Amino acid sequence: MIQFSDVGFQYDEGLWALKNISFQAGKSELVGVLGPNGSGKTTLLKLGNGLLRPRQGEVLLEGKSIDSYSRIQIAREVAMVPQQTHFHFTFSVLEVVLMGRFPYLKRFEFEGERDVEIARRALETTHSIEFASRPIDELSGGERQRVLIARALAQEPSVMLLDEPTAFLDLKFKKEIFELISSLVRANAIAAVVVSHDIELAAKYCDRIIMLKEGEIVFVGKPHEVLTCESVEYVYECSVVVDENPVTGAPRVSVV
Amino acid sequence: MEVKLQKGPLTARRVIGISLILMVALGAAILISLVCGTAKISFVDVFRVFSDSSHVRESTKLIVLRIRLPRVILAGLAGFTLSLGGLVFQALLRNPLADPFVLGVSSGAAFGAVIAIILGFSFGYGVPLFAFLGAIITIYLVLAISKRAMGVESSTAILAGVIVNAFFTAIIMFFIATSTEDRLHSMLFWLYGDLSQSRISYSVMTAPVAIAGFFLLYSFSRHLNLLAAGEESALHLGVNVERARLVCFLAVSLMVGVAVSFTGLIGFVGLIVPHLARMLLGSDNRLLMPVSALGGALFLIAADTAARTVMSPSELPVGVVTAFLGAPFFIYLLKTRGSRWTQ
Amino acid sequence: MIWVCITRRPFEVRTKRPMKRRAYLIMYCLLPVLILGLTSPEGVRGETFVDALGRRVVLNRAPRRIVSLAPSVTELLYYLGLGNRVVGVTTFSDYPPDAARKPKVGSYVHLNVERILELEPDLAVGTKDGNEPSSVALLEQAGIPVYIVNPRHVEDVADTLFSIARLCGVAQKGKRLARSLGDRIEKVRAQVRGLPKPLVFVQINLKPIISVSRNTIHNDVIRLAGGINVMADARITYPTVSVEQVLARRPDVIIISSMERAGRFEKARREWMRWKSIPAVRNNRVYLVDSDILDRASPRIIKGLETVAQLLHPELGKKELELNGGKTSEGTPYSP
Repeated sequence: MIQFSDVGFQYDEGLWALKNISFQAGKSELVGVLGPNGSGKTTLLKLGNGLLRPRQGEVLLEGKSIDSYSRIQIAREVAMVPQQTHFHFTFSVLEVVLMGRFPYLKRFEFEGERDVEIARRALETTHSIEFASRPIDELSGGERQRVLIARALAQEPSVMLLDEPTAFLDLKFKKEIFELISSLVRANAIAAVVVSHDIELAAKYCDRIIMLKEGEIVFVGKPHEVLTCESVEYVYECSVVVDENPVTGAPRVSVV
Repeated sequence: MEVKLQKGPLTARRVIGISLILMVALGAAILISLVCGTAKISFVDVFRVFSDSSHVRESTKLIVLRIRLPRVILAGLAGFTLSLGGLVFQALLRNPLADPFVLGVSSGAAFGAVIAIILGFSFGYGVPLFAFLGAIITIYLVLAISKRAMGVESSTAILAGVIVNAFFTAIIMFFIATSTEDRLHSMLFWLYGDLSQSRISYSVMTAPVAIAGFFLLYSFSRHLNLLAAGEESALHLGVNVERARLVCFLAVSLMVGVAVSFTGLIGFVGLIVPHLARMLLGSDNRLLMPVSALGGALFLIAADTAARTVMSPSELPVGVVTAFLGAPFFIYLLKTRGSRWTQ
Repeated sequence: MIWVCITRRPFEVRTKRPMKRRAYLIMYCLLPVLILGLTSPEGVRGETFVDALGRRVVLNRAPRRIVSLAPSVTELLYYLGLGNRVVGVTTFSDYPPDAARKPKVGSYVHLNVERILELEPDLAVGTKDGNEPSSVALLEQAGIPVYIVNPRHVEDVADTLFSIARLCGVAQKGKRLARSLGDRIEKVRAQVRGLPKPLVFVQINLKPIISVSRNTIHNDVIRLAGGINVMADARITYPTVSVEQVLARRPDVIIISSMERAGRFEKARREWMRWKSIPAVRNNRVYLVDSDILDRASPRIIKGLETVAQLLHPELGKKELELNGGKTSEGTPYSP
């Protein structure tokens, strides 16, 4: 589980990108982070990963400050799925997923049977096992994203951080990914934080939603509670109408 | 261009197996090179020189042991170093155009060596040391110029390398143009590469650096694999990117610096061989490192043999031969991979 | 003493043949001399020679298979009549024509040591400028004596000639030839003494224009021929110069030392003709001199000297400086 305790972050001596951030994501919990661009969403994830160190407050992993973890130890606990990854050199899908085993292997060690097993299982779970020997750059956006999630799974993390995982995907894949994430979170008892622009899908699949505006948490709570006309309009500064999706019952945001 | 992929994960056995095959090929190449040259020497002669030297003419023994052998070994070590350096630079900068020559590291090393010669050091430890310093300074310059908030931007690094290359080469040319006659000749060789004055002592100094450097770099082979997806990705997975970058650049600079100080500037080795290896065997650095290194050794031994036999008794500078082989290959790469490199 | 032996009666052993005894004594004294004289040429056995760099070179007998490591050395060897002993030359050893037909051992800046070793020479003669020290070291390791010469001035050519002659066992001839070269130099010196010294610009490359500074043999030739090299003060040995600099120095004579054929020389001369403010151009004193007789430290440089002296001082007339060349006293075909 991951916890932000009154975290503040400042880039150089300028604006505070994040202020007074306090929240947590526990086992099997999927927390969605919503907000306009520039509200500090990506910074939040980087703090959760230990890539950035907070100026104020602290980030806690399994109750311990993230500062007490080494890079490798963090990588064993926290896995990040970026928006997009460009591979400058071609690797096969299996090789990419095996990269997730990096934190567990010693310097000159080669992957053993267990590692391969974990990788295969991750591929199966993400329905990408059939591309195992195909080059990563031949896959479509959706397929590639699934592979990246598999890589994250191979890290055997207790926390997963996802940075707009559906940003460049087709409608069909957007839903698929969210479903996948949701089921993974439950099946593997992972605490996940998802940053997204996809309000509807986040609303449907997340257990809790956090809304950020200008670096601060303005609303937090269950999707139904948080996603109201007023809150969305305030955060995104545009006129919307929020009602219920007739089929799923999840909050539906429509721009007017 | 097809990139071959592995069915299963890479195993130590595969790496060692392929390396052994290459080592055997290397042994054969060395043997063949000892037979080739201006003087007519046969395989039998070569065997006799090493086994029972009483039946061999003195001149043959000398030619094989004092002229050809030191030269062939140094060529192998230089090829080993430059090729490995090229592979590592390409991985670090995520750019297939990077190699010690393109990034200016070789010319920085040559510049250091030239300074050492001017200051009066002969080929003891003075020249390689200065060459190493020259290499370090160059790589520092190149990285400093191309560093951005998010890490090193590789296309800027390449450009910086081109400029640094031109700068140091110009300075070397300056020294050549203004030197007195006797220094002139020893400096000309910096521009084309010259293995004709090789001595065993050069190889003795280069070998430990090359081998130690190889193992050090190999310990970072997986780190380099992870860098292929970007520095951030690697960081997420637990790679200490700063440290990996620093150690690798330093290691390559040292290796290349030492090699260049004895052989002069030889280009294209670090460009061609890693690419060929990648085309045949995929992108896993754990396999590519030994293959590139050994392949580079093979390549340069072959190039040097060609350089001294094609126009016998005259000699082509070995850098000319590698350029002849490298430039067309480069053009081929550009045509087949085209715009993928602009990303 | 022999006389005493013969005339001192008390000790005299009256033999039947006193003449024979004397003959024996004489022969006994002369024997070592005879042996030396018959078995080897003048004084070369196991002899140590010191070359121009102070290196000791030991030869056990007169060298029979000589490799020349520079074109100037090739000419010197042929001049001494040792052409038949030369087994290998460098690529530009093109004079005399016979030399050009000998096996090539690489260029003088880049020797092919393998080829030299294959030829199994018993002596290699090289120059300080050019020959790589590491190649020389390799040859020595192979047991081949390497003798280095270093003629920097025109006068040195005669000395170099003599030392090579001594090395190869033809000291007498060498002395004679060296002296005659020296005489020719003296002659030129005498002719030009007291004459006004023209300013001379020497051009050794057409594009870019490269001249010569004071540490060169060209400079020496100009000096001996009674001229002043306008670029003698340049800091670089072979400076690249601009037309401007030449204009500023106003040479009276321009000498183009080049291997170019007439066509290109004419073009170069026409280039100069545009600058009428240069005295050399105004007075039509732009000359081409074959670079082979001006930049090689070989006997032909004496001819170069004579030619240049005549060009610089036309008032001397052709007869005074008639080339002494033609044949050496032994009639060898080398004509400097």
